[in-house]
Amino acid sequence: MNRGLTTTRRWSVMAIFVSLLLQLQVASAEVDPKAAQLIMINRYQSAIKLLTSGMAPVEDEQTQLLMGTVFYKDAMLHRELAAASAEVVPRYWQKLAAETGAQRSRYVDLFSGLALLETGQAKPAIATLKKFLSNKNLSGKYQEVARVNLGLAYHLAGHTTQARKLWQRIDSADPEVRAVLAGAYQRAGLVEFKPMELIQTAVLAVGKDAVMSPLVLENALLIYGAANAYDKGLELIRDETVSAPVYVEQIGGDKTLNFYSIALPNRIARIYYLASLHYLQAAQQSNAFRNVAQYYLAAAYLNFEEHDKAVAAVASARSGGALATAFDNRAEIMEVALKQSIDKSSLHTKLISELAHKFNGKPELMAELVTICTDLKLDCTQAMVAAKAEAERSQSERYRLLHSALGFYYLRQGKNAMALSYLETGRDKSMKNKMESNDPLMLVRLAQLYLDEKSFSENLEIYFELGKEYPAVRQIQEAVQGVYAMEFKSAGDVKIF
Amino acid sequence: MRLIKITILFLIPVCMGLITSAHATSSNDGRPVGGMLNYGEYGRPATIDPITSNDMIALRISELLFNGLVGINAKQEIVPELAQKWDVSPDGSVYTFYLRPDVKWHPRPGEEAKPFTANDVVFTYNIMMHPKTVTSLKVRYEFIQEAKKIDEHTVQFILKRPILNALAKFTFKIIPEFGPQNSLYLRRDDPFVRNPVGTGPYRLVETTANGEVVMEANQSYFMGRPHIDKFVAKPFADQNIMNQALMFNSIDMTVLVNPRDIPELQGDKRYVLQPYNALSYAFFGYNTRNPLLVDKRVRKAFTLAINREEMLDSFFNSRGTVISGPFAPGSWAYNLDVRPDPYDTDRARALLQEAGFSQGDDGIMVKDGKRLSLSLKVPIAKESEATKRVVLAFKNYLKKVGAEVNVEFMEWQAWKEAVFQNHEFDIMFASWVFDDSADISSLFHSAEIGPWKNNFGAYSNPEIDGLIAEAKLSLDHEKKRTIYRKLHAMLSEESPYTFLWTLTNYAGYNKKIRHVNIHPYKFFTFADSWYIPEGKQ
Repeated sequence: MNRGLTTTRRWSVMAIFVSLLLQLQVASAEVDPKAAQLIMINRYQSAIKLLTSGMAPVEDEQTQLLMGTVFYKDAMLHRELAAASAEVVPRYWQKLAAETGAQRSRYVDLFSGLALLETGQAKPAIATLKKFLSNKNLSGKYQEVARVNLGLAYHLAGHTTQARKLWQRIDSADPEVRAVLAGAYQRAGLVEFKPMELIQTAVLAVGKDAVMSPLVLENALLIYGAANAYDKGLELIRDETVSAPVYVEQIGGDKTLNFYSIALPNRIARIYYLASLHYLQAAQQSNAFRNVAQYYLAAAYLNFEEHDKAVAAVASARSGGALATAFDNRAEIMEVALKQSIDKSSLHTKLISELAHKFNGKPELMAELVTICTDLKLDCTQAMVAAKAEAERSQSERYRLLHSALGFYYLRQGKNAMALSYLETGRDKSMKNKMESNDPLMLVRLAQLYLDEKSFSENLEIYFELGKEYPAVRQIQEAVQGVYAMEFKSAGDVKIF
Repeated sequence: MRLIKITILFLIPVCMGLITSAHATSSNDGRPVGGMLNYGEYGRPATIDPITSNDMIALRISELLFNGLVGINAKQEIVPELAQKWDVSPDGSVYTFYLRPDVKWHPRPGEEAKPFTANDVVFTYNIMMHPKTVTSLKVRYEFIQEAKKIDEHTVQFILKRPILNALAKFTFKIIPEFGPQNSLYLRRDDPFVRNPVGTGPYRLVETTANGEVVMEANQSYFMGRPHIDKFVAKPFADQNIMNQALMFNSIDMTVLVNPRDIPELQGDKRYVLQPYNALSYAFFGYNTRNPLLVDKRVRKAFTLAINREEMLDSFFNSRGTVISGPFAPGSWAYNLDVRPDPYDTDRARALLQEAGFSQGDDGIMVKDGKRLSLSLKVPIAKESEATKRVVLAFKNYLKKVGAEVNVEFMEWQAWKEAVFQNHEFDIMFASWVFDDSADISSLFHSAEIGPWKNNFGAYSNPEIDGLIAEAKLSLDHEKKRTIYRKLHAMLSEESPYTFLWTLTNYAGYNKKIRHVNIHPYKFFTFADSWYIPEGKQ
């Protein structure tokens, strides 16, 4: 376990923070060192399970701070997984949908329709869901699910009357259908239909402690997330639900297709984000941890695009001079970058360049600068030149974060060859797929890059390891396997090594 | 019939008019020409022709010496090689290849270079499929009915049935009709297998007394002269020494960096570490000709008796992943629902007892008067400190459940003969490497039992045979994937092998070698465009 502590992790602000907490632990018996260690090796899901296993509410500020940060990290990761899923799962379904004949999936149209709706493409969703409904001999439950979503697609496309007519005829006796209906009302903004009450009855019908359908979970998290009821959401998230398919289609005796909820990783990310805000806001009541908690709050707000709140939080974090240098430097970068994102004047661009100059020789801070420029899509041309020059100095452990940050910068620019080169340099090659040694966020990005390059096995190797900790990975793995099976070309060779 | 039509419709647009370059045209791209690349291999190949060889060392050399009718580029596109274009009949049963007229075989000393023609293609197919030819390739090409010469530069393949990705199968390497002494079939005693002639970017100069394979640039290569003048494959019996040779500049590249050496190379700016393949795994294979190993409970007990996680942690610093079945985790065929068996000595002992064994006076299990004492053969070419530890740990683990293992390290070629030719072993230790197909038919189908075939353990199970055949016949990718998932689950239970792990695979090379693109399986596919800057040659 300690192996991870000797790698790049020690340069990350998260590692600095956890080390700090572990040192402070002497003064407080509340922080679970096992949880802190799990965070250090990037096993956020395990850390969350450990930290939330107690029945009593968490009162200790150190633990609140720890929980706030781990929920924030896990929210970021799930958002990235959601993006990966949104890229590859529809690609796989499109391939299935392109087939014809008796072996063609009948359910792919339903799930493709749901995916289109999830990305706001209401009109194509209408056509796809109608295609699904034109099939005979389908499960009644899934026909109802399709009708509910067809109604939502109509509503989003501006055909509200048609939508309501459809919804009025829905038989919502089945908890899954009821959950989907509640979710549709929520997304349509129809609070008068009381989506919260509806979802509560669906959850109760399943039983809170039972393994529920991913469809119920997806919609429950949507509604709880909108109501900031993150705690209700957390109670429902279970590995076996997150990794389970919504529907398993059997075609003939020997063809099985698993269909997953493409929306679920995003819903989980939202709940984790809200949980992180809750715990960080609680932790900032402590004199000892106020500034660090505010720093993380700012980071969370920034990454979940609440920039105004991020500006206020980072200003608070820096006020009073109580922030440790490692955080203060990062907070300074965040503050300047946020200002530039709001006011794109040459003054702020200049300030960014000055920061790059100031942090010359400090690759971990240069990495922070590159990351924030990438996330906020800022014009950081001069800073990038400095960051690249800094990265040229070394490929050692200390520089890996910077190489990874540059890799992500180029990935966002669509320069895959450059991105691959930097991300690979930033990867701990001796433990290349292990999350203990590599930031899972970086691994997901690298995996997506390999998918773009059609290096499917490299992608799958990364997800194989991540899947051991993060059940939301499962749907990506299956989709990549499906695309791989259809796209590879080979002679069918095997050799002894 | 309907499925066939679908396949044809899919194939025709893909196949027609696809004329792009498989490789960069090398000599006129402005990059420097010259220099020599010495690369380290973990053994010396017994044969280096593309038909009789069955190991990765020979495959890499073949890639430099030979060409197929078509190639597959990094974007998974089929690209022309010896065939400049092709077409497919509407029913998908006839593939016609139009050959390049400008290709010549590497000249033998003192001879003129001979032209490559349709005769060579037909000859290659026929000799490959001859019952007496020693090869593991036949199983892959049994879907072809016949190869026919249409004219000097046109050849036609008639298929027995349409198959998925048929065009990709025509990547097999072509050998010259004038090559082998015996023109009917190819065996390992034919001089051609050690001194072959190809059409590829490099030609074989010699295999030295100490096993180095020296190849030089084919000046008249039809895709342009490669940049680097000479490639030399240098065998190393010990991976540790190979890495030191790289660090001291005795070689410029290692095809497989010892996992232990990765941190050292990663921290050194003089070298590049490049991942290149994920689809390989290590295993202990059982010889079911031994009556003691026929019962699957015995084999399963051995899998349960060893702590693979602990071995991986202790001997490879966790630089790998324990697997549960016959595919690598990076494969599309891996069944994610099948978990690796846990370390459980109690269950292992119980299974042995169920299989009729009882503990003898010396602690070793006995059945029908026969002690559970087995030989384990390990190729010395794979010898490294970690491999030694793995096999010795295996021996110790098995001793704890009452099985005696006698480890024998053997020279690479002797090991191959013992395992693949003579089948004189009880347990063997090795690794398989797959291309993207994850085709396990040659490994576990009962038709693949015999000398120099890949089902060395004589594993036979009609249900497995049936599923393999069904997968091969299927024209539906998802159906095939479902069948492979079933095969994974069954073979995990049947345990013809104890499936161990996939390790991190990296090539390491000196930074002076530029424009390096490594094929994930064949390694040297793009080597004709690698170069060394003039000042560093």
